[in-house]
Order: sequence, then structure tokens, then C-alpha cells
Amino acid sequence: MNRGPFIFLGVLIILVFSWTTVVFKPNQTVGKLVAILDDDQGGRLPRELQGAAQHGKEVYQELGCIACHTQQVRVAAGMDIERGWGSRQSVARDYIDQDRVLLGRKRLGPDLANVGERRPDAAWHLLHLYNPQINSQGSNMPAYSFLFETRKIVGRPSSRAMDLPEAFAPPEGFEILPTRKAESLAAYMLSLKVDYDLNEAPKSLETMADELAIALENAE
Amino acid sequence: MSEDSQIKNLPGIDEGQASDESIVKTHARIRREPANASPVLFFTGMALIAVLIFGWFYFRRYMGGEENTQIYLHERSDIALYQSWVDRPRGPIVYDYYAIGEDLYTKMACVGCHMPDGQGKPGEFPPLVDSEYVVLEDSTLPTKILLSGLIGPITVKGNQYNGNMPAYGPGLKDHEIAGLVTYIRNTWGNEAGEVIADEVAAVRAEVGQRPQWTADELAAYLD
Repeated sequence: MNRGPFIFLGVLIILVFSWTTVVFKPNQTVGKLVAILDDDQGGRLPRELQGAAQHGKEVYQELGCIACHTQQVRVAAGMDIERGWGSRQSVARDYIDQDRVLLGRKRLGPDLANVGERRPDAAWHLLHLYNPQINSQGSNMPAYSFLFETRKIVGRPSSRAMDLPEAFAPPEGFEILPTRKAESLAAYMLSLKVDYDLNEAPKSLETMADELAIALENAE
Repeated sequence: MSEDSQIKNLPGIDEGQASDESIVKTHARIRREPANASPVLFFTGMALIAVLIFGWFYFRRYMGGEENTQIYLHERSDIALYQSWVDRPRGPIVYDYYAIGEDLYTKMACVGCHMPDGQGKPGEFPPLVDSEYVVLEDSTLPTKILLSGLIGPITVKGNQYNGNMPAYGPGLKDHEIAGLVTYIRNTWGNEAGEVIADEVAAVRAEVGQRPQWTADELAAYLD
């Protein structure tokens, strides 16, 4: 009853199969993706994170935003485009610059792949982080007010002080300032936008049909 | 089986009672065993093969294809629409030159010297408004100045200037130069018509790499 070779073969097959599907094939298909240079769409695609947004991404990771927010727009399944979360499918090339790909775990909150396009105002994001009830009433997102600093006004109020509605305002003589983390996070939110087209990324069927019709019309 | 069980003299485990006949019979039974036990193996094997064949077609249908688009689009009609969308004719790009120029005029250094109102700074930088170097029939003169820069004494609208304008040709693309020239020729009351990227490309090819212009060199082009 020498089953050694049989067991060896079985283990080998399992290892080779998982290595092929988990390591080899993905490396073949998405591992070699490179950025695209397209002057008509503003240079390098996907766009690179600039300045404070880079730090903001670290804050985003640190605070665990991925537990509730995704960064992926899907065409085939769901209603992402109808909800206004983006205009096209997110594809692998959108993520090639990220060493940690923040696809997210769950969608308790809205998808953020295009939040910079929906909400292009940094002040909106700061208010939202300070207390989501200010501008998203009924949201179940916790308040990240620890990213802000309450300070006694000495002399003139700071130009960076938050412009809060009365119900959320600090007591008389105090002002609330965003810390560097909050500002970086807001900068990161503004940088999240997929405002370029990629050939491999389909849009919604209606958009593709419209663009095709316009292109054919122009060609004539 | 039933036949075997009726044979009373089968030895069991008692070797002493074994006969040639009983040994042959017992061995025959042992040899027969695997063949009787195999239906499970047979159906499992068949099911596995069926799954593999199904999987092959399934992956071909939903995971293969150029650029892996079938991950996102499943209906054949959708994939066909997507393919024709990818292959749609892309016409020549239509630039809004004035808007490009308006944007660049403030983004680039232009606005710092020639000022937002195009009047320049008296005694330092010449105006663009109504300037004989800007508002003329042929657009090549302002294009040349923008491409290669301008240095030294120059008389604009009767006033003397002695400045140093750097060359913007290396840093800006043809359509951006065209946008800026269009903008300065059609703003603040100037009306001298549009310049397009092809014209700039032609001037760029003609001028090539050269040091900054001087007013003497350009005098020939003035109206």
C-alpha cells in the first residue's frame, strides 16, 4: 500500500493549479498593464496623485474608510451609473499606480471612485468629515470631528476656520480648524475622479450608443 | 454469492481446511471486488468531465475575449455595440482656440507683463491692444514673436520699449500657440481673425530653432 507517488501527484496538481490561477494568470493579464499617454485627454492616464492627496490617501487607509466605501464603478452589475457614481466601468488600468488598491470591502456608503467630480468643493468635504449630518442628513457615517481642532480665538478669527451652521457651531469665542489630516483627506477626495476614457472600459449602453451616433454623424 | 455461501467446507481463516478449489474461489472473489465497487467512481468521473466541458464554454463565453470586456458585458448585442463604439471614427480634433488662449493668457506669464487688459506697462512692456505687431492682416508676425521671443529696443504705437520676451515655442504645443495668438488678436477691441494649429505648425517649421527676434528683423513683416 505505497500511496506516496499518488499523494505527491495530488499535492503537486493542487499547488500548480492554484499558482496558475492566483499568481500566473493575473500577472499575465493585469500585471503588465502600463499607463497611457493621451494628449487629447490631458497626458498620462490614469492621473497621478498630487501633493496633499498623496498624504490624504494614507489618512484614508489609516481611518479604515474602505470598510464602508468602495472605489469601483460597475456597469454589468448594479445601478452605479444610474446613481451618478460614474460614467464608465472601472478597469484594472485605473488602479495601476496604487500600491494598496482601495477597492473597499462593503458599500455602506456611496462609491467614491468619482467623488471629486460629484463634490468638487473641498469645504463641502471638510464639513462632511466634521459631522456628516451637516450636509448629508440621515447619513450613518460617524463624525470624524477628531480631525479638527477647537481653538480659542485670539485676536482675529483664522481665515481657515470652518464656517459651521448654528446647530454645530462651537461656543462663543472659539473656532474650529481642520488639521492637516482633514485637509489632506479632502484633497484626496477631490482627486478621486475618473474623468478620462479608456478603450477597454465600456460606458453605459445608452452613452455608448449616443457617442457612436455622434461620431458617425461627424464622420459624414 | 449464494452459491458460495452454501458450500459448507470453505476454510474461513483456518488454513488447515483450505483446498485448492477453495483457494481459487476465494481469490476469484477478491479479484472481482473492484469491478463491483466502481459505479460511484464512474459517475464521479463523468460528472467531473461534464463540469470541465461546461466550464470551458462558460469561461470562453464570460471571461475571454479581447481586453476581457466580456467580464463586464454579457449579451452579444451589448458586446457588438461596445466593439463599434471602440472602433468609432475619431474625427480631427476641433479646438476652441479663443478659450484655450483665454485660459493660457492668465496661466502663463503673459498676464504678468502685458497685464489683464492687454495694455502692458508704460515704459516697460509694450501693449497688445491695437499694437501694430499684433493687429495686422498676416498672423505670422505675432506667431513668430510668441514662438521665438523678442529682445531689444522696439517701438510700439510710437513709444520706445526695451524688453526681453522669452521664447514660448519649445514649451507650448501648436494649438496652444494658436490659441494665444487668437486670443490677443481678438480681445480688448482687437479684431484680426482666428489662427489655427496648422498655420502655427507651418510657421514653426519655417522658423525652426533660432535666437530671439529683434525689432529690426521683424520690420520687414510690418504692414
